[in-house]
Amino acid sequence: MTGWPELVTIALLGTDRRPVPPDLPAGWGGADPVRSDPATRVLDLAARHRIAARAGARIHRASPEPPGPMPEHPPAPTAATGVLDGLLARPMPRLVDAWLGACVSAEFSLPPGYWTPLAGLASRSTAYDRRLLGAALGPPGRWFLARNPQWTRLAAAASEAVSAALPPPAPAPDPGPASSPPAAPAVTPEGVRRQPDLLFAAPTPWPEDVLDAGLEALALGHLSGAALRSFAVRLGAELPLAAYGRLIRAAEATLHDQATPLVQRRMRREGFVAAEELVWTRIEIRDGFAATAPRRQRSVIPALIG
Amino acid sequence: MTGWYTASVLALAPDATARTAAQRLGLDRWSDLGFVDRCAWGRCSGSAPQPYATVVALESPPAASCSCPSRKVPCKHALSLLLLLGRGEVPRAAREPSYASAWLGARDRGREGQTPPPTPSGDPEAAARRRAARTKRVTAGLEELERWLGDQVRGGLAALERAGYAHFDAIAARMVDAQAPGVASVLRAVPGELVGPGWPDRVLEALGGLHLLVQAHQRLDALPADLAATVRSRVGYPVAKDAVLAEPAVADRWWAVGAVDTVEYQLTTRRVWLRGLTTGRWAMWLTFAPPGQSLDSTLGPGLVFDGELHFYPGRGQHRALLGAGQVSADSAGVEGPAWGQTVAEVQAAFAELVAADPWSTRMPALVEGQVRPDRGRGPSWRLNDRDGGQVELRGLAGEPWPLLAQSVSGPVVIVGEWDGRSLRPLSTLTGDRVLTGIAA
Repeated sequence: MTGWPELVTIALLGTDRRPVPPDLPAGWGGADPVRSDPATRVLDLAARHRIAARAGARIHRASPEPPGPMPEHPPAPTAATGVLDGLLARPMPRLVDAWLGACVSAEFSLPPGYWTPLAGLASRSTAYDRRLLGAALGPPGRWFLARNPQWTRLAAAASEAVSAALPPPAPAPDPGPASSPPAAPAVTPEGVRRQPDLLFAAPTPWPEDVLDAGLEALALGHLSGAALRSFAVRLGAELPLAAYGRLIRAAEATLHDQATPLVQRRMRREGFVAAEELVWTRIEIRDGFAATAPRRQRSVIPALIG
Repeated sequence: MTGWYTASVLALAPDATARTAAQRLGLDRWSDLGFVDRCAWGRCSGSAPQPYATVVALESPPAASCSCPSRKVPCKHALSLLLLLGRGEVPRAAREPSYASAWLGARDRGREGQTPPPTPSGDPEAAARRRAARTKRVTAGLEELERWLGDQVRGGLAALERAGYAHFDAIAARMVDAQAPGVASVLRAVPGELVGPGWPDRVLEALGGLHLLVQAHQRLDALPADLAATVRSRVGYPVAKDAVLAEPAVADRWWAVGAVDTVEYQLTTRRVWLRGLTTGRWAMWLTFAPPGQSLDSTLGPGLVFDGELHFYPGRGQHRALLGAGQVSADSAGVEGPAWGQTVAEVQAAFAELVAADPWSTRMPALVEGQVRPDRGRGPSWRLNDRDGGQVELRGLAGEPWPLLAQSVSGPVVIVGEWDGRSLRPLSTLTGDRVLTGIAA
């Protein structure tokens, strides 16, 4: 009897059809009990083989592979990755790009735990900035992208941007006091009241009266439904971070106005909530990468009671 | 309030979205917070005009009620409340508010209608008679199994390929009737081996293992006590918790380094693997959840149980019960990566386990190496260790791109279950942290 393969063949055909040789398989060794029943003998040998195969399985060997490239920057701090965790729960390309831009600007790298989810997002949508992603991934992350055939295009785009020696685009700076003359045509408060989206065409930093006119679009119910949502989201993504308090005060004034029917205030609240959430996320992104970020208190868009 | 650690609370989350959303609900969103011994409560503002009223019964596992429209159980508000409670940000109150009392009262009334389980008899003679009767039933059942095994080999295993699940379910049901549930479980798993190349080898090995178990049970009285305990455990004899807790305890700081959930006949089972930080000993903590109920999340990956474990009797036994001690999130001082073994070292340890318990099918392992996709042999993944040893990765729910990401620039320590031929990754160890997101 040569061994296990022959035993398997016997079992497959059945001992009624195929006799079991009397001698032990070569190399199996050891005394086995005398069995009159061939089926029992096969089962005895199968049990023995089972133990030997599990305990003595051969280990495949191969030449050790060289490791992939090393990162050029330290991984993003925990405060920053905590914000990214929240972004990935409901990904918005604009905010994810803002995070990646802040990461690159602060000279950190995207930790390996986030490579897979971000690669998945960016491979499915060109709304994400692949140059920023490539820069944040660094050499090991780009090496990682190249290993998955489903990310071929993404890997090429990420590497091409970096290899072209173009610096990654800096994230949109939080506008401070006006220091340069606006290059775009003047946008007036009246124009924004008539057409709220004109706010976003206004040169930054937005003049206070123009900003207030934009906030009126939320406060006075000039928009509704999808238009309201769209405006609120864009406002939240582009509002200067220093104007966060202004947004909250506008919300409070609107929602506490008892002269406005409750149902209308409820609709307007939706817009403020959407905008506030985005602005606060942008503040968290900025603070997440700061060496010493001030402990900020998030404001709450008032609930409606009654 | 102690006990509601972030990791254990987040382990209750039904999905990653709920987990993340709960962490984003800060204290500033809550009002009217409070807790007493039996429950915690609060109101959380959201996109709705009215804040959501949330109550959590502080049990294990906890139960929750929330006025939010989410169908997730528990919802993000309940999770957030527990997180705040764990961080000490919920003040103790004199009594719960009326809406919390109303919900708890309704729960209590619902429970009163349930029949409590019968308490076991304290009569030792009666217990001995029951044990003898059970052994007799099991013996008879295993004799029937032995005849069945012989019939399969006499007739030829080729017929099994078309026999279907019913062929095995029938004999498995007979084993359940014979009070040998462990044997029944093995039989129900055999049809799964009939798929793919090499199935005759796998099936014959499985039947050989059952045959060996029957032979061992026939000689139970002649076996060493610890091996006899192993045989009983494999057959499925119950072991009273009191008896296990009476076993000598092993004290250590037990670090939960990996977990895996399985579902069989709607019963969810979680195996949590623990590693003694001083003894280096492995242990397994099992929890079960019937349909609709949450698993006990007292001890999940990343947490440390500082206390005593009581191991079930038997050779190569990992299963243990938690004795006196405390669970914490403090894994400071752990040196995870120093423990990583090579493939050869893990295989040698498995050989020792199989020598002690011939029916062992898996073993916890810490293997250090680099993960790489193996496109040359079809879509598969392998781990390469520092000595050139290579092992296939199996049993993942998805592709292990996150594992590859962690091992791009250097080796990573993987916690997994070793079956003698492949490794099922469960988590990775990085410093004093356990990372569980290993497949996408």
